[in-house]
Amino acid sequence: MVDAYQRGVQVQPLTESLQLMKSNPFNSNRTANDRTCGSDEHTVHRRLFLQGAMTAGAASTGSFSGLFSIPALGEVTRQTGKKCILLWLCGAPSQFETWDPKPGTETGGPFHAISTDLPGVQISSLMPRCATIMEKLAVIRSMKTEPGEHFQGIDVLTRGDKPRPPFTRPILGSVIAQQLGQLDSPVPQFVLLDPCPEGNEFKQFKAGNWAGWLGAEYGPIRAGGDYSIPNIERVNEISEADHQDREALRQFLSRKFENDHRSEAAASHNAAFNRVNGLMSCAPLFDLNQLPEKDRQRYGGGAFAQHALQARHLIENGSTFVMVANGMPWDNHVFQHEMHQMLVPELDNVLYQLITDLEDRGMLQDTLVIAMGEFGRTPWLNEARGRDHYPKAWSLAMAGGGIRGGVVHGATDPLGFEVVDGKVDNRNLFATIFKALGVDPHQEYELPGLPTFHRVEDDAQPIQEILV
Amino acid sequence: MTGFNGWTATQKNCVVLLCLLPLTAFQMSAAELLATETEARTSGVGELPDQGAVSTGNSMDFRQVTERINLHLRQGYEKRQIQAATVCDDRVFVRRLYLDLAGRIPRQSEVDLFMEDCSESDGGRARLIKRLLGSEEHVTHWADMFDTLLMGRAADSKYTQRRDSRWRAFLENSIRANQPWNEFIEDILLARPADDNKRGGNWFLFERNDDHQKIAEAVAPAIFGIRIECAQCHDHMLVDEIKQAHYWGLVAFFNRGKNVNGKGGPQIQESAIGGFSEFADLLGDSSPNLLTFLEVDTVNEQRPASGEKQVDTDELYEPGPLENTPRVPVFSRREKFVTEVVREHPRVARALVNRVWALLMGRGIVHPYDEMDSMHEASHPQLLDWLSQDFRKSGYDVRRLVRGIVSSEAYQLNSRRPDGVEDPASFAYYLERSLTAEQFARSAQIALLGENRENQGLQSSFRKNFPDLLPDEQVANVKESLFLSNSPVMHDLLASSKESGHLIPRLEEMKDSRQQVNVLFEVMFTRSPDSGESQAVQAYLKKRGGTAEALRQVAWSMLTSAEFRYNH
Amino acid sequence: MEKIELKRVKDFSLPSGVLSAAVSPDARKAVVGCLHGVFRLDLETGNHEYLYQHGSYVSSVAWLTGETVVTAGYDGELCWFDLASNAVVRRSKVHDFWSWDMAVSPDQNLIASVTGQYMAGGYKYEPQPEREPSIRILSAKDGELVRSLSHVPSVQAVAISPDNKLVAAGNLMGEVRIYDLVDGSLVSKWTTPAFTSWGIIKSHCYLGGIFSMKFSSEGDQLLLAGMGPMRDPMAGNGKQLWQRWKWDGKNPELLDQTHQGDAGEGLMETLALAPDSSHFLMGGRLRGGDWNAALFDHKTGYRIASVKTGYRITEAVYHPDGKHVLLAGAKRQPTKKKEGKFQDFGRVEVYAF
Repeated sequence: MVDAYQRGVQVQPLTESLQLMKSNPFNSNRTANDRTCGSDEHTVHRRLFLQGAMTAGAASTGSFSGLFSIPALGEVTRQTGKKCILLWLCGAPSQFETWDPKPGTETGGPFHAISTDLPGVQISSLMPRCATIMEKLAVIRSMKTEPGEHFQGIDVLTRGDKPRPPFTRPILGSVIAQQLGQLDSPVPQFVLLDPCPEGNEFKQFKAGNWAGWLGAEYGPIRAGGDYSIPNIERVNEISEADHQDREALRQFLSRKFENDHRSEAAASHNAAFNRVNGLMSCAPLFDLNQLPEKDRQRYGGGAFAQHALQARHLIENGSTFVMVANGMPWDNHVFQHEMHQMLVPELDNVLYQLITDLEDRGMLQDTLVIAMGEFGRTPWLNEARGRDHYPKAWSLAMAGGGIRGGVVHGATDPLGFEVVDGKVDNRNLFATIFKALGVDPHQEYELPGLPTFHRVEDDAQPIQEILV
Repeated sequence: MTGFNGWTATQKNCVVLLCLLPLTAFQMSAAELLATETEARTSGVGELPDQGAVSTGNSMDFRQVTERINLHLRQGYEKRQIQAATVCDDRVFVRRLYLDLAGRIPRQSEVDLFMEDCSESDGGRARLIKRLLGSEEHVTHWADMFDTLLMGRAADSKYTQRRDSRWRAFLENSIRANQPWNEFIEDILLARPADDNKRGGNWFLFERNDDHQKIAEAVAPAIFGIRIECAQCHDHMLVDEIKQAHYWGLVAFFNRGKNVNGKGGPQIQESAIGGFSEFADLLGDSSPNLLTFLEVDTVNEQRPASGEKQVDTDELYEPGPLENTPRVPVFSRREKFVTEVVREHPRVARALVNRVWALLMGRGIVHPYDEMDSMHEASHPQLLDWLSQDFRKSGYDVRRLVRGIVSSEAYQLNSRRPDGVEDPASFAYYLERSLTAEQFARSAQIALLGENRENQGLQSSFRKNFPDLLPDEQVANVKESLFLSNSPVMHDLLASSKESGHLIPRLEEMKDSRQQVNVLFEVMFTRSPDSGESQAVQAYLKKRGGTAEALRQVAWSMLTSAEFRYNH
Repeated sequence: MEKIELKRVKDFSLPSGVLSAAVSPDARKAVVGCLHGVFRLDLETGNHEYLYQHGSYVSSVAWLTGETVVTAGYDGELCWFDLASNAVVRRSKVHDFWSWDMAVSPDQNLIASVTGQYMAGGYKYEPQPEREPSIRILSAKDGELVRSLSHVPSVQAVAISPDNKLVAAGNLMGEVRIYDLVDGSLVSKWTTPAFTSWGIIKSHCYLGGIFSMKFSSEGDQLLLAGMGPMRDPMAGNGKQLWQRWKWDGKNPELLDQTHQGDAGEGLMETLALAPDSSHFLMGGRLRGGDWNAALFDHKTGYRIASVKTGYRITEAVYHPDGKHVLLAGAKRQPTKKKEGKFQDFGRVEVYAF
């Protein structure tokens, strides 16, 4: 549309085509007598302009909420590339109470360990369900990273590297949305589900620039809890077609300003508006109440579990990257065991349900599931019965999407103080994630006027052992 | 019953019409617009008569500020080997200055007047600066911004409380009178006014509702330009100079306060005893919360021995300064904070200078503006030093500083980033920034209705959907775009442009779609359309038969475009 | 109100953090339950001897008649141990999840142990209903299960009335239930939200609860201890809180609670009532403030003595003479080994007053 304008084709694309309008499920109150033109050329322009929203609509049977369960779209989604769900365990869970138990030792904590379907491998007794699907999981027990504070930890473990001011490295979800996402999809490619408005450092982090140099269009759409998406539906007084047309004019004027002024602010403004169309068409995806009650019960009642289910639903319907968080509940400086008795079983069940669901739907091999926080917890208990931040030796788990299951990579010493085998840092981890998703880990970012950046710096190598 | 209703409705309409007539008259015709200019001078954005006039700062003196800014920024360009942007034209300047000083875009009549003034003699820009600085709208806009910086965005009920408590009036009076900044902050920190008219200043502490940590976390950025939240549980991990003891010391200065709301209105009484505690670090070691803060000596105070219970006696107090004010401790921690920490603290001037700079230049000399710590270097350290020193010497004269900055070369540069310039901290081009919620609400009304009604509901809607004042980075968000696209508020605002003299009816009266487009661009963007733009919009209108609905759609497209959304 | 001075007369270390302790009738020795095992401690010399281990942390110890003690652990087991023969007499698995707390009836016939795992129920993390009975009543003599009673997990504190007829238990959500031990009927229940936090800042879930409780000597009042609400449960900065409740049929009534100005911040984990009931002691962890153990006058609630121990107190036990009190707890666990072993981090002190 914009291109059309810039080439001097000014008006026609703004007119509506009858064919499209008739099959447009948003427009039940319009009649065929409304302004029409009928020319094929207009249809094409219109199609280009309306991007995926209308294309999807054209195949629909007319039910708004049914739009995303039509098999045709589902098939397309399934075939196109890989997806990722990041269960972001913000605040940092304890490795001792999850993947790297040290039962009967001074540091092991009060929970015991249980055997799993992998001979010789034990995990915390708080994770009985995951213990039955370890052959699908890759567990890394040898994470060793630097930052020991939340903000810096979150930064490094979601962007993959430390900041190099003044340039802001895009967050994992933005990279994946840009590399693997379908920009013409009406469904947001990168979604953050997190109902917690506060959250100290994570709140501060959320207020920052997620998409970095990729630009605002690759930033996340946030939903969850009170974060329903306000103003997602058009006011009744304007028709869909009129809204689309005035939006095209807005875009024309605004893009011109962006170009004339070389304005980065305007670029981000325009990118945000580009999102609006797609979002308006997929409002039902963000309604928890539309998820099947049976599934909701199976995943568990807590917000984190419900949003993990919603993440599956979004991925099934065309999102590329969904990050599920719930504030930063894992930061248990106080009440370590009292919190972990609840949080770990919830995580255990969520991982189990998510992975088996994806497998049942034939989506597991294309959908990478990652469960991790920004570091681990100290082997020792502090005086407040809690465990403090510990980046020196911690664990995480992944499954599906290019990752080999049934592998436990690396090891810590008997008390969990140090990594003794297979050290993995944030760069190795990100190289592994990118490789698993089929994204070149070492590609150079070509950014005019900036120093050279690589997707993963220093040629850091992925963990071959856990790649398919 | 019907008759009664009809009667009241008529009465109301009469009242409304009477109020609106002199203002809507501006929109009648170009000739009338010019003719009413004298009125504009005295009513809207004119200079006020001498009594109660807004001080515009020392007129000669501010040039030193301007010259110094020019000098240091030029040196910066040379050092960076970059070429600054060219100077913006008068129409770009007038929009920019109205937004920055008066909090709204200029009316078409005001633009015409300025252009005429510029063509008559040199110094038009300086005259406009002086005039806007003297306007009541300047007071309102800067009160908005300082309210946001000092109190934060909040729910609507808070804004009502801020008015009812006379905080808003206090803030506006202070700005109107150009009260020295050091006196202003002493008023709000001590919250013990000797003058009944200053009671509104108590609200700064009162609104924090006895949450002494919240007070400390507000005081640090507002007064000293630093953030201390990170030091609550441990010494700041990244900024060596900010200690946990400073966090709890700052809390201690305020922790004997307690809100009372009686005859004297909202006040904060202070106890002469208590407020001793220990804070624990991450290792569990604890330390006493001494009265201490960055770069000043710890204020001495007798601490009771462990287990000793302090006794609260009348001898420890003096009567309050006014009737119905609480008694005042002989040893008042708040007073000590003001006299021994804040007064003469070098960070006070630096913080204010940096903040005003950020408001006018798009980012601070230290960025972010409220993290002036060892992690964040100044882009022009000597300039910041000079301006801070000068600000102190000038008697903390805020308006002189503002006038000095907007008169500088850098303020008047074009906003298009020149080739070879990467770093916004060079100030080699005008940094675009989004309009605040209030600026946008006013500007949209100016454009659509020809006047700003200080519509609180509208301002509130925008506040809830727009990013905060002075964000670290100008990143648009989808929430805002959804709001601008689909909110009934936007729809109703456009629909309200329907009375005589409003934009849409004015356009409807025009026969020629080219003229319509010209007016739209003048009103919305303070410029003429180029031919491509003109053709596109004309065609859009033509296709729709030039209906009012079509005109509203075009108006929407312009209001929500980046060009309107940003100050540039 | 007369002030009392608490004077430390003994100060011992143990290899592992102490969670629980019981003092022998002659007050010459104690048995302490630690993170890593049960120890006998000579209160004269400080000599200690490792006795045995549970499958997890040892949460409670009680002295039965003569030389027998009973311990409860996070393994959900009770263990009877004969100190004379240095042998485990009986182990009994009573819960699937932890024993959070255990109490023995004054006549030493019954043992009450409480359990419950907090599991996410609703969107806001309301706890799921119990999956096993939260309160188990056993015969102290033979370990036989006498009765199972129900509550909402996690149930973290339990007490038996002086007349051996009632059992009270308090949970995460501040809910107190009092049951008749004779017929198992629910005598009273109420909820005090003062001990529970729903985390607004970092975590949307519940945390805290009632951590210790004791009946008054008349058995018609209940003392509760824990920590006041926090916006951020990770901070552990709730008010040091006790409450005194009375119930009369169906009308529970809050009589008193930590007085204004008496409380700093920190989780209070233990309550003890003086043998003559004139005062009670509450102890726990200090987060901010100037005491982590304090004596309160039972009638007036005035704070009459306080100390700051420099470690987290998990247990307070009055000696039978009523003139001494034992405080036990844990410092931070050592962060590295010295000469092949970790330094002691358990603490037991005796104060005289």
